[in-house]
Amino acid sequence: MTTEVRHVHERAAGELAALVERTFTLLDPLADACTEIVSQASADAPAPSARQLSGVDVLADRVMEQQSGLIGAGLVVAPGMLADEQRYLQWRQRRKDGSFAPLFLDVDTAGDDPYDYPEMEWFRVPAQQGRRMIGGPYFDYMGAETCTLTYAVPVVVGGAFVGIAGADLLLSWLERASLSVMRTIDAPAALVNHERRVVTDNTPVLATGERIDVARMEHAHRYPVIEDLGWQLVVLQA
Amino acid sequence: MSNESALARSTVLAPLGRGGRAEEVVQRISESISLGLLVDGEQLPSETDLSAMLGVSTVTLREALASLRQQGLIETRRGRNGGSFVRSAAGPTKAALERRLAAFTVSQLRDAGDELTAISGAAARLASSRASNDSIRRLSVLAQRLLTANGAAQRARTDSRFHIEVAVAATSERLTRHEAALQAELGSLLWWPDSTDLQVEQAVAEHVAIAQAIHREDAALARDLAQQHVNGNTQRLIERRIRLGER
Repeated sequence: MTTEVRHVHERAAGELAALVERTFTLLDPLADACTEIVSQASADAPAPSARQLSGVDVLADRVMEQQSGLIGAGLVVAPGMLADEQRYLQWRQRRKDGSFAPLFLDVDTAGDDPYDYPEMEWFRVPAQQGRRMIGGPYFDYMGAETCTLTYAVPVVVGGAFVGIAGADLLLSWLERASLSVMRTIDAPAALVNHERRVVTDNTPVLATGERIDVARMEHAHRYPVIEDLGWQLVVLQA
Repeated sequence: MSNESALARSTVLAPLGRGGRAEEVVQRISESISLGLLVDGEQLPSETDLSAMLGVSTVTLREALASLRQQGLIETRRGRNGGSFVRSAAGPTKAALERRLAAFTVSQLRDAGDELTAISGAAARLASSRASNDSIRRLSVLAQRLLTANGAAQRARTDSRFHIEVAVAATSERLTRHEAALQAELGSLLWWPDSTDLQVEQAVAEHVAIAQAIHREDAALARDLAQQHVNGNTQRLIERRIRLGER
C-alpha cells in the first residue's frame, strides 16, 4: 500500500471518529445535571425520587435538537438508586411529527417481558466497567423500534455508579452522514464495532450488523477510530 | 374491532361520576375483564384518550393502571408501538381460539405458514452472521422461557417473543416488523388450554437448537431448523383446523 493510500484511510478514520464523537459531547449537560440532582438529594434525603429527575427533560430535548439523527435522549438509572422506583428511565423521544415526548418503557420485572435494560450492553458496560459505551447497531425492540446506536456515558457520584446519560442515534442517519467519507476509500471498507460488527460500510458485499470474521480481519488494513470503544475502520483487500 | 365489542367498550369506558377515583377505575376495568367485556390481549386506548373517556385525570388513571398492572390484569408494553393490554388470567377460552382458527381455511393457514417459513428462515439465516453477543445471550434465555410460561396466553406470548428476537438478532427492521405481525396473527393460535407439557418440551428443544445454530454461525442449519419448526407448527394448526370441520 502506498503512503498516499494510507493517508486517505487515516483521514477517513479521523473524520469518522469526529462524527461518532460529536454525539458524546452533546451528552455532557445531561450527565452534569444528573450528577447535580443526585449530589443535592444526598444532602437531605438518602436517595432522589423519580420526580426529581424530570427537570432533565428539557436538556434531553436540547440534545436531540442539536443532531437530527437523534431520536431519543435521557437518563437511565441504576437499579435501586431511586427512593421510589427500582428501575427507571427518564427518557425523551422524537416523535414522527418532530415533537418531543416522554418514552415510557415497561421495566417492571414482574411482567413476563420487561425492557430489561440492566442486561443491555449499553447499560451493563458503563455500570460494570465505569466507561462510556455505544450499544449496537441493533434493532431496539420495544424501545426506539428502529435500527439504532445507543450512546451511554456513566454518571458516577461519590464513587458510586448512579446511571447513564444516553442518546439513541438512528443508524440510517450515521450511514448518510458517513457516506461521503466512506466513498473516499477505494476498496471495500467498513466501520466496525468492538464485536467486529459492521456499523456502516461502502460496499454491497457487507451488511449492517454483519460480523467480519477474525481471518478476514487479519488480512485487512485496520485503523483505530474510537480506541476506548474498540471501533475500527477496516479496509478489506479488494 | 367488531361493532359488538365497540359497543361493549363504549359502556365499559363510559365516564365515571364526578371526581372519579383510582379505585373506581380499577373496579370498572377489572369487572369488565372478569365479565369478558374486555378480552385477553385487547389493547386499551392511550392514557390520554382513556382518561378523557372515563372522565378522570391522567394522574388518577396512571394510579389505576399501576394497580391493575400489579394485579396482573393489564400489561403495559412501552415503546413506540406500545400501550396497555388486557391480561386475562384465564387466557383465551378454547371456544374463542376455535372461533379464531375457524376463520381460516386450510389453504389460508398453509399460505400464512409459507409466509412465516420464508420470514423465519431468512431471519435465522441472517441472524447467524449478524447477531450481537447481547442478542445471542437473550436468544438462549428466551429459547427456554417457554418452560416456565403458564397457560395458553403466556405460552403463546413467550413463544412469539423468541421468534421475534431471532429477527431482532438479524438486525433487520423489516423482517422484525413482519415477524411480529405474523406472530400476532398465527403465534396466538399455537397454544391451547389442552396443549401438553410434552409439546412445550418439544418446542423448547427446537428453539434451543435454532439458538445454538445461530450462536455457532451455521447459517444453513439455522435456516433449516427455523423452517422445519414453522412447518411443524403449521401442520399442527392445520390438523386442528380440519378437526373443527365445516365452520
